[in-house]
Amino acid sequence: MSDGDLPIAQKNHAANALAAWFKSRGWTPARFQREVWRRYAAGESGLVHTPTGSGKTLAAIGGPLIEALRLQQKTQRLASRRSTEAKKSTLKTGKKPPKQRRLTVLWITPLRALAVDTVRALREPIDDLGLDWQVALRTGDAGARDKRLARSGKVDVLVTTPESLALLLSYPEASENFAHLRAVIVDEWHELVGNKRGVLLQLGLARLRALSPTLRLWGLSATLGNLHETRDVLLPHTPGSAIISSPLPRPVEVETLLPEAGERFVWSGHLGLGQLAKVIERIFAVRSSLLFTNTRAQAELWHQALAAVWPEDPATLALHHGSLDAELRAAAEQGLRDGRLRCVVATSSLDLGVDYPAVDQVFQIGSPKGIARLRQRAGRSRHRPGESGHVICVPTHALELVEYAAARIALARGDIEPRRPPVLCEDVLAQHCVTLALGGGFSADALYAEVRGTHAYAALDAERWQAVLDFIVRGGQALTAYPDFQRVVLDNDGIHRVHDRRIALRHRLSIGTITSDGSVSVKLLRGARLGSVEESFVGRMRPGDRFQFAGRMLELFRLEDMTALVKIAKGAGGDVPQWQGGRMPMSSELGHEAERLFDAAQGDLPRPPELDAISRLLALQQRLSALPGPDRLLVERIHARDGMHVFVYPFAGRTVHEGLAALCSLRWGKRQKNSFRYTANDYGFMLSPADPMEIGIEDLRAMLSPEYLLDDLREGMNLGELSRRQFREIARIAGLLVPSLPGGAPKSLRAVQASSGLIFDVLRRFDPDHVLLAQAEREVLQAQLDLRQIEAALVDCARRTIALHSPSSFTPLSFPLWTDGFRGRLSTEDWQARVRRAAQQLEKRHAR
Amino acid sequence: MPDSIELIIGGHPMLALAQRALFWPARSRLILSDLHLGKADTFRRHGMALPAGGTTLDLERLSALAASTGAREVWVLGDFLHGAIEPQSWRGQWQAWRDAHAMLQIRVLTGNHDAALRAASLAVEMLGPAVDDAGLAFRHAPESVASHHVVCGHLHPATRLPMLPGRWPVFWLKPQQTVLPAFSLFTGGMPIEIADDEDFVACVHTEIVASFPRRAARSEGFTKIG
Repeated sequence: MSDGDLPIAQKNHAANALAAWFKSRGWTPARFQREVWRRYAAGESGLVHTPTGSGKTLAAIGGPLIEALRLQQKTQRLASRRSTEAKKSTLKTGKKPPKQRRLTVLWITPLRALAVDTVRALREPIDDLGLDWQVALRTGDAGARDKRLARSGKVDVLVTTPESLALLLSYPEASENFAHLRAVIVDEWHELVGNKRGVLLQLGLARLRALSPTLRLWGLSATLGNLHETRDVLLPHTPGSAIISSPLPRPVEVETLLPEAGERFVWSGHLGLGQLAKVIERIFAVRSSLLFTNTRAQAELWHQALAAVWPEDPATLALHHGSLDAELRAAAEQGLRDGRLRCVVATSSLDLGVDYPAVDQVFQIGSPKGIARLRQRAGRSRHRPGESGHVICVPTHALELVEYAAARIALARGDIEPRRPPVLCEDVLAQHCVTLALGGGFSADALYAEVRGTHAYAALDAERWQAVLDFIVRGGQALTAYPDFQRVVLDNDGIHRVHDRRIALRHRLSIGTITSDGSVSVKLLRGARLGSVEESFVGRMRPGDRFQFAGRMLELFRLEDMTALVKIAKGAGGDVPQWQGGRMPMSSELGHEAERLFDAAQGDLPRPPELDAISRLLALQQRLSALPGPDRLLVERIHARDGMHVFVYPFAGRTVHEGLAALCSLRWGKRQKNSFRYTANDYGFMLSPADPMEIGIEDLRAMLSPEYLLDDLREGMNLGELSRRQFREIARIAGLLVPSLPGGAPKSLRAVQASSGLIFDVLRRFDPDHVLLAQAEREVLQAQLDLRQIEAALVDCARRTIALHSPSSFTPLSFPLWTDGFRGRLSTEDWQARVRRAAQQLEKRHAR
Repeated sequence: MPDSIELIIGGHPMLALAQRALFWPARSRLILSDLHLGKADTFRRHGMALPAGGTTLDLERLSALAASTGAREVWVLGDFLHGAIEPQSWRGQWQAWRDAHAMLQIRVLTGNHDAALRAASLAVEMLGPAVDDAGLAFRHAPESVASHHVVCGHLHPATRLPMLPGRWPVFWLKPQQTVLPAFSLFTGGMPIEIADDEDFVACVHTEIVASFPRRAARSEGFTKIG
């Protein structure tokens, strides 16, 4: 750009430069992209609703780019005018002063894997347009240089995660560094809106808005069932902001690898390796594939199985999941980008919008779990605007075939699940307050107003706010219970601050551990860190034991300081770590669609090929008992060698079924004291009374009544025990636990390590009105048991006729539940009676 | 269910109490381990908001045990304290308790948490790291001592029980070793695997659940251990 060609409208000039850049790539800006740019220029915030791979990155960054180009042109003109004047007034070209960089654009992404890619995607237009912008990365994986740059604020564009943003806010420099922000872009907002990471981000955004009141905030979201709510959560300060949709949702093709006619097909199971040969064949029919599993353990096993029969260079097969070390993950991602890899076995760590145009096809191993999720995964292939998403589904057991067909129907109809935003999480608020107390301090009144400006805390009353303040300042609300406590201090100037360096250190270590659980670092005896596994897994192992991890067979050499030192083992055999939280429930939307298909299977109507493939299984189910359907509630009562079991199939997803199972045990037990064990899967639940009891239609009606739901749950549902478990996450977020870091807690913190269960017990006994205990119970009811959904399921059950069958053996539907093992247990006996029962059981077990 | 069970440990009849202590009638000695006095104080000083009350409760339990067994002495097998000795609220509680039980001998084996104990003048008698008495070897942590049955603590052993949620603290009964449960209620448990030649006595609230049949224990008078 020469200095000569001046005025014209500067705005158009900059916009034209971007348009020209598009043209140089053979693209044209889409209508929705131009609309986002226009609204950004007009000072608006908004939500861009678009499937992945439709140019959303450029839609979001275009506005800030145009703005920056304009500014740059303006300053260049000024500078050139000055320099011509300087030249005229003779000599010296003085050394140009280094540009004073200021953080202008903040890009927030939920996944570290995405961040690297985003940096690359942003640098392209920035460099091509000759914009003097520096882009830096600040995530848990970032290098020391990037971390320093981020903290100093001397970059123009920063790509980060919600947790790393919180960490930046914990430094006093934050208020200066963020004061010049013009744009904040939240990528993949749909991934955050429904969880506590999203709540943390809401608080962080409120802080940013306070630091830079004129900043514009844009969210990028895939389709959700509650898109308007999704926007309101992100943009509570500008109600009614635009939702800009890219035109056509990409059609998704769902293909299923059907078992051969007559092929023996398991009723339950978890691997689907029977399909290995077919999967290999399909993998080698194209250049590159992504193979998604539902759990990390499953990914390890599939990787192992594929590696065992891999017909070419083993280096073309890779593994990617959230517990692997950053370097290993980065290598797999880079391999995908370069097209070096033929196949990557991945979990949800690769679900999100990383752009891998080189990926030709996507596999889904096992249940799709949800409509939105399958769509997201399908969208990973041929990731170019306008091209169709395609997913090949590989069943791990017979009934999943019905789920695939159901997902296809729901996708075609455009159905999608909603994601409900959590509210009033005191744990996250406490963490945020300590963060701000570290980052220069806060005044209580101003911060109260600020957090009430978020969706999550709009309804935060003064009493609860005070409870959170008391928790971080005095330890709790009970005045006498916390002598000598010190964390956040209210200074004489009315500002809350942290003064103790140990507390500062511990808090910064805790930030961002929202999602991680107690983890043990896995390290080769001589060499690299491979990643981390849960403590509970390694805790059971002895030196010499083998396990499968990071795609290798390892042998435990020694466990020290939360680090498992391992050697590469030869040969096969060995455990695969199970990570907690790996089991995602199927959405009730998908469940009910599947139920409709079961019902349709009875008629003569044309049906999807998946159902034909398991027609014999369906016939067996019908012969032994009956098929489920939307208007009837199937119940099976089976006497087996290990006792009596009752199976109920509401098709509402595992979480809801666990709540229903507990509720039914309680109500059943009210008639006759008994102990129950129960288990649940995505289709239904099983109740097993310790002493056999009879059950009829009327009993079932009473057990499944929507009336007095909350009372009954409160009364009998071992809420205490459930809250105790839920408390783990709360305690970690609120800073009651020493952060469990790979490699172990710092030595100075060893003396204050206690389990969350123990802390829960102490609080219950000595400060029973504690704000976090109340939160734990609320979360159990709302989030974990999902009270709203349980209620909906009960109302739905009440509408149906009950079909009670007593099959002579296990049915295709009941068998998987029976083999699943017991998950929960509920007793309506007092605990002395339970102790007696425990003693009897032990006696039986040890009778020799 | 009972609140205690009779055991023979290293040839000596003893009582395992549901309140997580062992009573040796012949010596009129209450034996417990891992008292962790002032644990919550240490947490609060580190900015972790745990309420007070645990120390008082543990001392009350100890009073009740001393009264119900009529013990003349209390042996604590290490980890008497949790953290530093500096003025903390537990200290006043301990002094008051000590004054109220002036006749009771308190003897303490040193454990890994007891670095500051010697200088603390808590009116307890220090036994050092090891005491052997009548074929029994008292230690803080498990070790093997030739021709002795070791009685120790340190591990906080705990196990799951059928039909009951969670883990429960246990007396871990091995052929040459008895590991006591942690006495303090504010302690976590270490899950243990019970081998074929081992047994346990679990403490569930105020009751005992043993891994061996009660019937057998009664008919033989005592269950033979070690």
